[in-house]
Amino acid sequence: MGSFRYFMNLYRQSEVQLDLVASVPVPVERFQPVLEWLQFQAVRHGKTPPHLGGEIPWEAEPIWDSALGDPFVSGVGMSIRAETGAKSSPVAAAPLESCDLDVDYFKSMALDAVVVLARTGKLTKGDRTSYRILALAGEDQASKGEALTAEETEDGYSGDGFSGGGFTVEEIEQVLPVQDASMDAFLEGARACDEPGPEDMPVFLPQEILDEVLALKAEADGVETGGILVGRLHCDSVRSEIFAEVTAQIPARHTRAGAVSLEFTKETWTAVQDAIDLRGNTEIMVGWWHSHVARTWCKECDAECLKKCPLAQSFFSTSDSKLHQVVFPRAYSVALVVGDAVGDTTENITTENNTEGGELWRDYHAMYGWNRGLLKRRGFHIIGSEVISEMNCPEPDPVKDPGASLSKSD
Amino acid sequence: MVTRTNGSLVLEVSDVSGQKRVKARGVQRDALVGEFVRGAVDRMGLPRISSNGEPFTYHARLEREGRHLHASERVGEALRPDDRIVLQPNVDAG
Repeated sequence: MGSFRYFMNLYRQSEVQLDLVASVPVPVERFQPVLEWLQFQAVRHGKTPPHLGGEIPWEAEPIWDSALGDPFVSGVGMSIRAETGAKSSPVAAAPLESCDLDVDYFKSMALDAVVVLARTGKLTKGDRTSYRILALAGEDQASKGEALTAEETEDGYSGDGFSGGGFTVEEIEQVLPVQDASMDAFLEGARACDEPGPEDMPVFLPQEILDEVLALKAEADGVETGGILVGRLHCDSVRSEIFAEVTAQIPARHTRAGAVSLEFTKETWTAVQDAIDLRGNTEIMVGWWHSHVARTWCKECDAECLKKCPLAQSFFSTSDSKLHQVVFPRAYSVALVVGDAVGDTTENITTENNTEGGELWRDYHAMYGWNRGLLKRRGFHIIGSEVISEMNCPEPDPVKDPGASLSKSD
Repeated sequence: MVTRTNGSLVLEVSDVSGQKRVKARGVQRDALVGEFVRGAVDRMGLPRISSNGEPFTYHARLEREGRHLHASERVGEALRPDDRIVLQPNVDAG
């Protein structure tokens, strides 16, 4: 990873100063999501064979913070290189892919650390916290401040206690199951939903599957529901691009569903795998979906409050991010969120309007996926049957075109 | 393929989506399955705490028998060389 080690300083923030609470080494594993993403970008661009995982040379170079100066960084320059086979090669190969991270990349690590510090009493409820990232040259540097012990880091498991008997693991390189296909055939008649960016692998979702998901959301009647998206990866050799086709959604069974959470259990995963096997085992899990039921969460809220409510629009919660990290670490994985938006909205609206409690609620859909190691909202394409309603289109003018107006029914 | 070294096992371990697979070498036969699972989660770099600070619970599913292993079972009694284990978490969306 180069000649620098990275640390996170966590501070208690007061009006006048920052008090250092802890200094935590940034484990190498924290860079895994962005390395995974860079590796997948190289595959997408035809620079490497369609393999993911395994060892790949990489570097993390500090971008020094111009205001705070060395050792504080404002970002980290990440790069991966081709495997040369000669570890001491005097001429470094040019980077296959590279990107710059800003310190937001480490926010989830900071949140994890704050949880641990709160549990151990080093932070108390109401404390405001902030963090900075430091880069120190050499191997065994330590930052100033009180380091978290192994027991306190990450999850409360003893980091140096029982280690399962001293076994070792070696990642098995995954050969991506890509099939040749022309993306033009998919693009024909497809509608972009949030314009996919150049860094986003194209994803094609049939309208029928979106309809199924929305029907399941409606059936769930005020509690969250979800499922797994299965499909295939395709390679368009003309475009030198890999894209994903969602072929089905498998409803999540054996979940524990509530209004604000949806627990996927071991029985859920077994049932999903059984379903994939029954379908012939030719598809892979490309992602998952779940619902946000704002019309249940916000049923006591008034109209003015709802217009500003962040829950009444698309979002990806920290729990959602954690699930994605646990289950879908590969850079091609996506998450579809369907939820309730209120009134006029810029969200992608799928279904007819309906009213509830006097408010105008509409179903929206949004997709999230890996980008530079973080989970962000991303674009995708809807294919198949004619899309029922407008997506990202201006609201019809009820004065000029009253027939097109989707009015609130009284 | 060498599958047994010094009374230990070589196993294949996968995350629940099959997106990450590892070969685990030197798994002690007298270890408990629960201990092995904790070690595997750690070594595979899988997240161990949820967003609310609670540890995730991972279950081990033995593909050969199509059943979930109990944490208190002995590796050497429940598993054979080259067995494939899938780690299945209880995990919440929000």
